[in-house]
Amino acid sequence: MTDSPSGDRSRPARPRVRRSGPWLLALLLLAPAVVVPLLVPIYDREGPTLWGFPFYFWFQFAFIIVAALLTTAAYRVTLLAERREREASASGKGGHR
Amino acid sequence: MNGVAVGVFVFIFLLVTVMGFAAARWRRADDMGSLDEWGLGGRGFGTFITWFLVGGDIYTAYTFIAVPATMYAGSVVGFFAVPYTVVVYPLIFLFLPRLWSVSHRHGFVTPADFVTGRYGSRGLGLAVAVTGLLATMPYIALQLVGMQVVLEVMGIGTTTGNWFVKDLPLFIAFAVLAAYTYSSGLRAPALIAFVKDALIYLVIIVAVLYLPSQVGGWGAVFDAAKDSFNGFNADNADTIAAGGANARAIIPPGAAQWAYASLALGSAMALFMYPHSLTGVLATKDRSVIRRNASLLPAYSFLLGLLALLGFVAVAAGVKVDNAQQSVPQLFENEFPGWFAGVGFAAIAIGALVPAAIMSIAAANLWTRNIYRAFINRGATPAQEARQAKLVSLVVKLGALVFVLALPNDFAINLQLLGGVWILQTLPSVVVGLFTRWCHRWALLAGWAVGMLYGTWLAYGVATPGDPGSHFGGSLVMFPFTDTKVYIAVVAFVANVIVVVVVTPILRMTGVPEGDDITSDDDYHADADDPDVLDELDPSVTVR
Repeated sequence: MTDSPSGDRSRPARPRVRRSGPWLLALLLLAPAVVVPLLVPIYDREGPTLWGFPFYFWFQFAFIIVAALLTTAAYRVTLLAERREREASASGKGGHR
Repeated sequence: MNGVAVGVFVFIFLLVTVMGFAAARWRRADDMGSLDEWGLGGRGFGTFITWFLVGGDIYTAYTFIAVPATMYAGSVVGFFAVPYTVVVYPLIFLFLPRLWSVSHRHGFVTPADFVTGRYGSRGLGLAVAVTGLLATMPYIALQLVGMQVVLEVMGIGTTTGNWFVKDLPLFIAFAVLAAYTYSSGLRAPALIAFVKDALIYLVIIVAVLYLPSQVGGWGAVFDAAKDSFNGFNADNADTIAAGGANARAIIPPGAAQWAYASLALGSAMALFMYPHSLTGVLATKDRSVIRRNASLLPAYSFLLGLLALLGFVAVAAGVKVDNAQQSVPQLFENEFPGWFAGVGFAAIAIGALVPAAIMSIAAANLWTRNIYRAFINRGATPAQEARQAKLVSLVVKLGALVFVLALPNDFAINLQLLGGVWILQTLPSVVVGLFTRWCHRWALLAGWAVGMLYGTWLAYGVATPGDPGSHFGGSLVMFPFTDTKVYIAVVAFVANVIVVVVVTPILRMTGVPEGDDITSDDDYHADADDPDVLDELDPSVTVR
């Protein structure tokens, strides 16, 4: 038993290369999708309206699309990162187990 | 009662019933006699099925009835369901793949399984399991409430004073649901979810394109809602000033902004602590399915937002109902031709069946793994586990039925929010546990207990507007030492975290045993093509 087995990436139980760059990028992409909807004062207003929708409503609808795009981008980034890590650990250790 | 609408409704309901029973043969495994097969559909669902299954989980009949109902009633804070379902996906993206990996390597079926294995503590696992059961029961009951509202608007069974005849359609619907969940397990809701979502999308798209044009377009809808709410505020100015009613508006007043944000965040964090949402996720065939779905599921959020606005459309179309929950079904009844109203009613009713089935399966999994096998029959075979789970899925549904017939339906949304308060208290054990083993198991248990009691006490103290001295009247309280209203779950969660952070170092200094961790660092990144993951999918592999 270790104190923080999962957080400790310098000494993993089995060799899997973890590069922090892509994961940081994924976090940066996801952060606005969580934070912006919680900043209610920035969109809690009636004007300007769009197709009859008060700003409050159309902003939140538009942000669903923005958040989906950000999450898709983060998915692409992590997919690529995981594939590279897998290849790196497979070639480095000759396919353990 | 509209004969055509009822006929279409009954036809679609029968179709879905046949599908539910036939699902047992779909993607059939050699042996249905294990929890992996019955309770997780063989753990083989890809992106497409998962999208429908998880969508069916999150966007339930309750959502379709209650969210527009709050808008109809002039409480736009109910629109928090939209930011809530935006915020939730990045969170899923970050922690669920880790839970998927560790669960596949160790054969975990429930979040409580993970907690038990991670902290070497059946007690902490029990706390998580019991919380899951407590929070799921009212949620299943809410699905029944949703179905009941549709039946009422259709005029089925409501014209009589006899309680048995009145509730008979609900009994029949639930008996059918219980029977096919028993025989087909998670495959039944997964298959029915296709029909449910096809119908829901059809109805909502037609509704948002057609209905506003009947009342002069979206601009007219918002104007009409605003005029109606201002009229209400002017007529009831004295009552509102005395705190006997809430002022109505089409956008939240400044004072409600924190309430709105905390409801969205608290609900998002709570959602994936619910055992049923994890059931859908653990049933996926590989890790990337979860992340891909996190980027595809927001399509439902868009739908939900449009649906919420139907509450305003109902105001603009002059729908007058005493129970706000009936506003959208009544709108369908008034504005659509009979056959399409029937399709709309069927969509909502089936929207109740899918999550109710998944929730009862999740509750049954919890009972079987974390109470039956952990405490009652420690050497249970996979076949015994599957038999227990099937029986418990029946008991859980019966419990929900009693729940809904014994309690006033007006409390529906607040009861579910109380469940949200409880389930959020398991987050430190489950989510923090996925990233670090820093927290001490007994500190987590203490934090959980404090959060549960404090949250329940806070909710008990909230009176319904206009009825001083009543209890459980809402989901908002003043944040301690401020005069800002926030979601109770978030306040209780803060207390929970403080206890965990303070008690952990004390227990560690005094040398209280930490328990054995059966997981290792690498378990949290395992994927389907790792050979040892497939090995451990063998249901006979036991988890302690």
